[in-house]
Amino acid sequence: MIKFLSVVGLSTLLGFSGEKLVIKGSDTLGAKLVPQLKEEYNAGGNEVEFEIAAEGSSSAFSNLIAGTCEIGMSSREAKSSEKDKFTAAGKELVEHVAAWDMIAVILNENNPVKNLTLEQIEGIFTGDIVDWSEVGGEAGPISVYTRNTSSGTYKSFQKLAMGKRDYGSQTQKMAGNEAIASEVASNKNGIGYVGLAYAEKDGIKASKVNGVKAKPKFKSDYAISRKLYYYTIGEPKGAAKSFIEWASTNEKAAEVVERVGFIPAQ
Amino acid sequence: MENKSHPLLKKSGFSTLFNKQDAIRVFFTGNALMSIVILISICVFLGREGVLFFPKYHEELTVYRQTGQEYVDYIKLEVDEGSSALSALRRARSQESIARFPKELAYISSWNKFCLAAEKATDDQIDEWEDLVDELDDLEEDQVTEKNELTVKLNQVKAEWRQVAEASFNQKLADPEFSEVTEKLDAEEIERLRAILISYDPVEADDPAEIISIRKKIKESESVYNDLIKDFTSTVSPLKRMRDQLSRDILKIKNEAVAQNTAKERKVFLTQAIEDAETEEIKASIRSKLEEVVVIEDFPYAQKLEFLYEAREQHLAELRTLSAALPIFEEKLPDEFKSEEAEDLVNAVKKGLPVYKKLCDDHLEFLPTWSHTLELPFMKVISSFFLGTDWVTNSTWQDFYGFLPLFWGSILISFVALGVSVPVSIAAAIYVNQLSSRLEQNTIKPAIEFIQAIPSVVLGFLGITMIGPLIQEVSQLSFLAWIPGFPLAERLNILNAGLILALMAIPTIFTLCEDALNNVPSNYTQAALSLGSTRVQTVLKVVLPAAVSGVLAAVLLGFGRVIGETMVVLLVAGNRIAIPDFTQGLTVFTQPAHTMTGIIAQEMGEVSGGSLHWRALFLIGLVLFSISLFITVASQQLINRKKK
Repeated sequence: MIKFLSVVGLSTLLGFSGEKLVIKGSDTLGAKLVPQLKEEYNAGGNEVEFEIAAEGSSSAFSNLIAGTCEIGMSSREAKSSEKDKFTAAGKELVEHVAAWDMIAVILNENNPVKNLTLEQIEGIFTGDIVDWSEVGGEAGPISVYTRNTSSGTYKSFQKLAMGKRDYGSQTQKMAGNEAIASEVASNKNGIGYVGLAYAEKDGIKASKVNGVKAKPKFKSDYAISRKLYYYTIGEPKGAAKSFIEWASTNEKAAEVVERVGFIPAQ
Repeated sequence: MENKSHPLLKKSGFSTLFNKQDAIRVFFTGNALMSIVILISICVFLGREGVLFFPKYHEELTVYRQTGQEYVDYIKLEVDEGSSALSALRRARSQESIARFPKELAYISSWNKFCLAAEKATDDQIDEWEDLVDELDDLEEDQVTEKNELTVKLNQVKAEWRQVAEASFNQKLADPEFSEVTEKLDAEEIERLRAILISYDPVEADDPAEIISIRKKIKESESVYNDLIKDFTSTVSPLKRMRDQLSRDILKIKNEAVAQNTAKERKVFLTQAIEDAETEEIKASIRSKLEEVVVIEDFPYAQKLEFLYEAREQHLAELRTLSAALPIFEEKLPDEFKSEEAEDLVNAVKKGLPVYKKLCDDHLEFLPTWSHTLELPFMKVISSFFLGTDWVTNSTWQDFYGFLPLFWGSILISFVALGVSVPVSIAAAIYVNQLSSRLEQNTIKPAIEFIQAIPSVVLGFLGITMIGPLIQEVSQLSFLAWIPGFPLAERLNILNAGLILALMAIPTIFTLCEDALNNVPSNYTQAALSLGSTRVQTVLKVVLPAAVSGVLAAVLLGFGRVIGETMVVLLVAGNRIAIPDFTQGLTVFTQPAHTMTGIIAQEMGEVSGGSLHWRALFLIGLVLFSISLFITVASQQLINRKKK
């Protein structure tokens, strides 16, 4: 709520001239990606006034149907019950892929384990599996490094890889991707997860998940990845159309997407 | 009124209203009063915010019971216990195989090491190889010439890869650091490994056929364990499925219940927001939100939880099956071992199974009468904070605020810090005060006091970048392997944090200790010396006993300094919120931990004011405050006693 009010307040304070674009929905998209895209978009000569509110994916659909936003951000596909509401209201919900959120599971480079199943990952991060010998590695207690609780990745990983179960009490909470990577690099028995961009650091390697490598090109087969969406009512028009087109095709936009740790949709 | 010096009674102008003396006095009393007022408001604020945690936690735990989450957590407990037994069995299986197939596993392990080394050396070739495979995949059927070109290129890269990989293989053979791998292999095996490596495909990165067949052979010999694990898994898995299904359903109810419980507040808040809104548009959007908020006085828990009570029968039936199966598993546990580790692990399982059975039987006893309407005693809430072993926040399921892991973290780190700093600083104080020359005194004292000037974040950084790796490296020296916990797995741990905090406590303890020694009347020393005792005898038998309460006070204040330190522990202690495993003996000091101060610093930024989490952090602040207060009072008492 505070976030919402502050965004509303900010955008009214700044008082842009020109077109206005209201974007509401997912926290994953609305916290960093879309605000940074906005900066880049307006820096490129556009004069659009943005109103961005990140209150969770569900709010994207309730706002779209109430007509209180032009673009809805969602970190999941619309549920069929939500689609039904739009059909009932005589509105068509159109989906645009904004980016891919892909999380790499990293191991120390000297760890012989190359592949982990999703079930094994769930076991390791919830504390059911405590030793590398249980997953085909060389015997040694597993040290688990995770992001701290305020991170969005902390929640995404829980959702995608851990069946929404809570993290085990033996996990160590690190301040960021960099800290996780350097601890795993220094600990032969370490495991952690980072945004894909950080998986290339020295001393670590990304494990395959269910036999699929963590590479952008395998994004649709890789288990710990998901699509992030923009939703509009009908094909987008005006400011919404040009923004979505720019965000999904422009190279600068792709750079922003990578900078915040996602994979561009194209 | 008779007091002629009262400033308000003087009539001759402003300058005489306050004379200089009065002004100074008012200034100082004002300041003193101010600091007392601030201190009292801190106490009141901390106390209020902290203590209010309990009613709110009580409320939340009541909802936790009412929504049936508590029931699901009993199932979780049953499953977790089974998971840990399974985990031990899997470890025993692998240890047993290591003992039975030392040669084969050493062979696989050497293959892994050679393979990793080769992959590292051929990073560029692998990238190129991957790119070419991708390009080939992207080509259409009819682009034959391009296809041929790429295939030729790919073969070149493959050949190059083999060359570099073999070079790395040869290099590793000659590498003395690799000798522990190579000395286990005979010449024929080395040649076989070389052959496997050359035919290896690093892009597909599947295990070579020979390795797979060895693995298969080992796996076949593990059939006792495999059957046991399979049976056990299938006995526990209905419970597991139940846990997953029920937690999904109950989470929905919980979210509904929480929305209902906060509906009134939200309504008030939103109504206020409409009044404050500036434009009609915003007002409309808030109004539409307001319409969604429906206030129901009593959330129909009983009706919502019908499915849980229906599922209970099934759960209890599964639990009975499990409880009956456990003694059978106990009999089936292997009793012949080649490996001691495996024996220990299986014995631990053997000991654990009756405990597990008891847990199931206990649950079978009280779960049939469990009801979401049971009253939650307030004392239980208080004890679940002070004796709670879980600190779980930002959970999608339920947040728990258990104080013990943080408390033990703080205590152990302080213990290490004091263990190092107390002897060092007392010895330094004695030397500087009693034995050193004036020149030494003038160098050592400022030097030690200077440490205090280093900001703690700098020391924390030092811990991450220098001391951590240093301890880790030292711990890997083979002649130090007898020290418990060595070689260290984690470089961010209690020991590391304790050492840096020792550095911070030394100036405090040293300075106060030196003062205490200084306060010993000089005629004590002179008397002792004149009776013919040596300098050292005088110090140990006369001066130190006379100053002992001051020294103790110094140690206590050092403890206060250490337990209140935040930045260092946040950066260096490893931030693992679990009670350190005391069963491991002294290795407990090499485990990571989280602390009372660290958790406040780490989580304060993400909580919203007035929430339960926020209050929990304040409560921890209150406990810390009480500890510091106690320490200060105790050391004051010690010092005063000496003065009498």
